[in-house]
Amino acid sequence: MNQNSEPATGSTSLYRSAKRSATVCALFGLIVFGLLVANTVANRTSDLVTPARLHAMELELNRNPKDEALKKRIRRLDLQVRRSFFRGQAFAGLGFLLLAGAAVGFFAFSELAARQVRKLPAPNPEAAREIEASLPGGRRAVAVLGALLGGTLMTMAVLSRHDAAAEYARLALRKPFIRQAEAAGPAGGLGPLGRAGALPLAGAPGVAGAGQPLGVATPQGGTLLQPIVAAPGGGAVTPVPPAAGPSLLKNPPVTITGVAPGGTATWPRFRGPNGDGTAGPGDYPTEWNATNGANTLWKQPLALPGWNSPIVVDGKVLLSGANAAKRTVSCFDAATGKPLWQADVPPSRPGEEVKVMDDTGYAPSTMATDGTRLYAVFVNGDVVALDLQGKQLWLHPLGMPENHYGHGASLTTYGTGVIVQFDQGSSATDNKSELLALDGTSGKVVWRIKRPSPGTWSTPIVVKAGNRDLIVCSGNPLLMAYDAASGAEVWRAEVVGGEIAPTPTFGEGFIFVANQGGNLAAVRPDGVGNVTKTAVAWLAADGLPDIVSPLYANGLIFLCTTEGLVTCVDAKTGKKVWDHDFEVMMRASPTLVGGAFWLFDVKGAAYLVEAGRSFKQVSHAVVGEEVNASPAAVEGRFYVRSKSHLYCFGKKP
Amino acid sequence: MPLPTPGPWDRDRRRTLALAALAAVAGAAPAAHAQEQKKQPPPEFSEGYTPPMPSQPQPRMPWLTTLDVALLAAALGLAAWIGLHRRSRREMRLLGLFSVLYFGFIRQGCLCPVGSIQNVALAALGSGYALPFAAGALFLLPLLAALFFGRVFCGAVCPLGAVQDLALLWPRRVPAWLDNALGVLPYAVLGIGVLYAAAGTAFVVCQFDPFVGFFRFSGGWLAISLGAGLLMLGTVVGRPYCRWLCPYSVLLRWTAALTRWGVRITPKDCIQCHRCADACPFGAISPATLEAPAEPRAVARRRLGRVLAVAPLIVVAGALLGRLGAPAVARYDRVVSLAERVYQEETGRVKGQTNASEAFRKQATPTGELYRQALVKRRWYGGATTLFGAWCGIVVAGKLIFLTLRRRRPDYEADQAACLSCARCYTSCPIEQERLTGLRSPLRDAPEQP
Repeated sequence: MNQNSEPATGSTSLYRSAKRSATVCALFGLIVFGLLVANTVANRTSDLVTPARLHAMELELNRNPKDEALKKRIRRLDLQVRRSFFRGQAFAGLGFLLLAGAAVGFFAFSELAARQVRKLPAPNPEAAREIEASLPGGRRAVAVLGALLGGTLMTMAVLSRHDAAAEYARLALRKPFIRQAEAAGPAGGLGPLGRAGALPLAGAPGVAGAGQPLGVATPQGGTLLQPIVAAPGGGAVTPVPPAAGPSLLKNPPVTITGVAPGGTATWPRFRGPNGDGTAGPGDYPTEWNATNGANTLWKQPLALPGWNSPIVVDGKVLLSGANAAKRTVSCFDAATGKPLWQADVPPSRPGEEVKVMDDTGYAPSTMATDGTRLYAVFVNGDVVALDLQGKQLWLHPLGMPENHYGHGASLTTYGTGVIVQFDQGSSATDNKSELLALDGTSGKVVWRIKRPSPGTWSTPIVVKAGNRDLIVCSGNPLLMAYDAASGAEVWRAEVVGGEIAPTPTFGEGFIFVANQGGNLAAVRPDGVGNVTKTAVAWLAADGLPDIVSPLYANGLIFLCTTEGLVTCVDAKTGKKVWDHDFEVMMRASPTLVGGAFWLFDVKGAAYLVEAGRSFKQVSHAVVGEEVNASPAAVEGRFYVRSKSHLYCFGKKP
Repeated sequence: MPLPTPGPWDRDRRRTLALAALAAVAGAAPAAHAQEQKKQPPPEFSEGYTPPMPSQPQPRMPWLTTLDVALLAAALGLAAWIGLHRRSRREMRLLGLFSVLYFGFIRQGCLCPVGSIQNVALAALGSGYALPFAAGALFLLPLLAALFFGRVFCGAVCPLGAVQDLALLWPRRVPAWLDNALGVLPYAVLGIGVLYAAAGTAFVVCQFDPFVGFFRFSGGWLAISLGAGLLMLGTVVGRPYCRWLCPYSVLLRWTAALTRWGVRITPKDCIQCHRCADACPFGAISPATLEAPAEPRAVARRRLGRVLAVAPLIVVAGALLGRLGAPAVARYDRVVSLAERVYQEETGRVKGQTNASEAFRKQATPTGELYRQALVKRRWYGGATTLFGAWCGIVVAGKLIFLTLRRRRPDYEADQAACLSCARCYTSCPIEQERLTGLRSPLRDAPEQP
């Protein structure tokens, strides 16, 4: 390696022979390699042409299935292709062996030749000085290499920033895209944002693509006060431009209250009378433990599984259950837990195969009651009504929904009708989703309206906002309000996104909706038309839930993700106040009791958290079984459905 | 027989390099072979013939795995015995040949401590992965051997090193400044390998293993081309992969630096001939430092002060750059790339479907769940890539400090951390020749070298 090397010791003739042999090996290898490349190229070319030929011949055979000559030609070509393939394989195998041999020969002869002339090492008297002199260059080179590494990361960062697709998650799941729509100006609206690199409004799967306007349907039918049979099919989809009027945000706040059936229906639906998760009056326990019986008033086994939550009416606790073979509605005495009756609900289409995911089950939707009748809906779209003694009154099959989890939205009631948010399809433009009002006495459609949303799993709420009774539904990408009596669309706000499961809630004069893939949004309920630009007070992106519904209390909004991250947000500003990670899976929605709310994790633990501006866990309780359903909280008692039991927790006398 | 004048190969360097290029071409053969291994759809038979069903390859029998580990341990022991006791370059080459044949071609490069880093990283930092006994043993045995005997694993047991060692025909010394700079790369490769392994994304060290394609007669063009290029370079530059890319070499350097029983160049007393330094193609033998430094001590101190002051900034800058580059780094993850693809398809940015997106849609998994998983991954990468950037900063800063520190070496020293235990230096040692031949070296009577 050194120029001061000593003479080598070796044979000149051997050196020359070895060198020539190495050259021959290398040339031989080069030729073989060239042939292999040619073989590969030829096969690739053939691969491009032959399938097209075969396909054309197959199409021709489809047209003339009795053409024997054509069949022979196809067989001949197929055989030819296969022979060619195996010939190529054999050629490549042989070629590789020859190449490997050439390589071994080349290295062996080269080593032999090199040995003949290899110089003995000799010390370099300048080595130390050269090393010393190389240090500055070494430092510079290390610095340059470090800069190259950093530059590589920087380049990657810059390239990814300029690529909107790389930012899909943040934009699709986090960024309040409504602001982008505003930034895009009048051209934005409901279509594409109109600027290069920006995402379309549809940030989540199954939403209208660029340039496809979302539409609004007009209802068909009458009002809940005047039931009529609706004509089949839906209304026409017409675009609704954003309202150009003045902002509603400066107007005095409007009062919002839940619209509940009242009477004996003390917990008539999912999340209680108002649909906001607030417990009724009563002296509730702050701790219990089903494993040792503490504050556990009764416990009853459930015949069939179901993730729906219990409802309470007329001193009865009711819930539905189903498996692939059977569907029931079960009734328990709220005071003692004694099973009162169990009604089988045969399917409308016996023998129909219903495929569901384990997380959905066959009875995911919570029942509803108007105080005189019970309503249940099952995963195949069968809506059934029973009287309070369990007698089936009617069954209205809505048909198997095109919903990859299965239908999961719960029912609600208004006046004499039962409201079904029957969203399905994979895109907002599928024109398959509907909001229906069924007459409670007959099961006939009172009105129905098409909804511009793909499949959702969110339950509508019924509120009185000012002097209007509204049914508020979350969809993708619209939060929409309908006149509760007629089903006519009142307003829409483009603030939601993703797969919609949480139910909206209300407080402070606003409707609050939160969904992972969209936003947490505060929307005034007194607008008309597209209120995206006029009624949305704020948007936030902290702690967006994917299943658990939000809870409003004391000027704060509480969000909970399935992973157990609880986030408190100021209801006036949308700013995060605190968050706390329970680090457990949670699917049940929170229930407000006084100044605190209960959270249930899937393992059966419950946590009472103060509904205040700082996190404080008040107490802890144990169910001891998997819990996915939200509790019913009536007159000091919690009715909690676990995987296989119904529990009643309350203060023991 | 007259001897050739010194350096016919030197004069013929162009031809030498051309031949080396041909060697690389020869090495690229497996890629061509691999290209041929495409599948044709099975024909439709109408005469009752049932095509054979594809079968799953059976896992390797446990006792064979144990045998592999035992063979590795034996090879390490043998390498230590040859390198430290027998001091035989020839036997070391034979052992290297065995390693190439068994650990390389027969076991197809899968008995690989280099790759085992990723198993360990996944087990230690990932979730739900239990480290297999074999992987743990592969990871630890060479390190233990390095702790006691130096890098004997590199000497002749590692097939990746051995195949490069066999290809080293006309060794040339790499300038020290370049060697120093390239020496940073293995740390970066180690970092990126651990990063992707801990995320459960990929074993990138294995995916881009440059020589495994040769051992398996198949592989991607990129890896094969990299291997062919390294082999070509390796004919003149000693073991480029081991020195400037191998992530395991970082760990081996650290452990070998602690050894007390590593390679000793001369079997007895050193006669200060300094031939060994020139014999080492890896620059692992350092010359004595100058008695009189080239620059005043105060200048060196000020420089050291500046480097020490800048070092934390380099680390912070690395961390920041790592954080910025996280989205791009995360894209290599299957979930993230699939989510991006699905998202692009959903928003009409791309037409058609890839195999992966088509398979995903057939699973009927909600796209929101895919996005959520991708988001979790991206967040993980945000933190991990920040650490990776900081790690690169630490390495660069550490190297700069190392090159700034003034140190004194009274004599030629073998750097145990860098020494690959190849036994080349023995053959140039006149005292070793004395030991082998029993004849007194004339160099004992030669004037002392400067």
